[in-house]
Amino acid sequence: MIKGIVTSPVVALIVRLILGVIFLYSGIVKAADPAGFAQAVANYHILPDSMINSVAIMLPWVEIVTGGSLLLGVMIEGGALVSSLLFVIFAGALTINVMRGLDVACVCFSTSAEAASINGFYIVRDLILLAMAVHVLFCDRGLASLGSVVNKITDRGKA
Amino acid sequence: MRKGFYQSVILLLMGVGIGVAVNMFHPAGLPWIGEWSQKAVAVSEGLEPLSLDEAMMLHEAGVAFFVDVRDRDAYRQVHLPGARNVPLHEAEGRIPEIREMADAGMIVIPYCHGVDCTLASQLARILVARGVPSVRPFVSGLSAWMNAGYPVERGGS
Repeated sequence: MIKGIVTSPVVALIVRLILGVIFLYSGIVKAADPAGFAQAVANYHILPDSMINSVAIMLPWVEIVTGGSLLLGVMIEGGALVSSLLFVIFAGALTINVMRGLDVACVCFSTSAEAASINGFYIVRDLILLAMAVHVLFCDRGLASLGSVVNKITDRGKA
Repeated sequence: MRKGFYQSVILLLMGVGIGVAVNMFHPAGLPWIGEWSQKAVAVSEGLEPLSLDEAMMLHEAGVAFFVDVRDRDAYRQVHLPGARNVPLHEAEGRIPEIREMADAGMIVIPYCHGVDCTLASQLARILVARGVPSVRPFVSGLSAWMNAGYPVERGGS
């Protein structure tokens, strides 16, 4: 019963839409302030200086494209895979800095360095989002996806 | 799963491509390689970071107002002499008390752990943006101070 609910296409659709909105919002905020995001990436002290700007230039748009893919239901498997990969990377970065005891802001959904410092909560939240992305990967059946809508319209046209 | 892999490659390439294109035409586009050492960042933003010797000199002259930007626990363990604890997320609400010290002729010296820590520069930027005078971040921070064997304090709130 519970398994049926958890794996139902409707639940998968809701989870996919939530993830889509999260990625789209997160990407737009970062893309709007590339210098602020680059500073935030530098604050994590994980990447070498030579890679910080490249990541700040590209990552927000990867998030936006992924968010768009999940929201519209286009290339859902790919969107879920990229989401999972990003959440694994984010969880790793958060864990490293929590273990180091570095007092840095998460900048998960903003580029403000004045946000609260990272702690275990942020890692748990990231892992929950990772679980959601994996859920979409295995349970989404393309309900209300752009592809299914186009197919329906085409079928009606043929009929 | 293979389909998902190919799709993910397409999405990644799309994101990277759009990002590169937008950055090329964006008026505030970033150079591909930036200088991110704390001192370089501070100087590029018009701040005047203090060296260890300068920080000690100002302390001995009695005009140093050290502001510890680390969290409360780190501050309680050890901090610079007379430092006040202002974690970054409290900065906005604490500006009046910092401004009061600056107006009294003190040099406001934000610091944190050391060169790996950006909090000092970040607080300095906030203070300068709010018009607080005499702000000089000490980017070498607590670690350089302690390595030099200079005095520290423990406890407090």
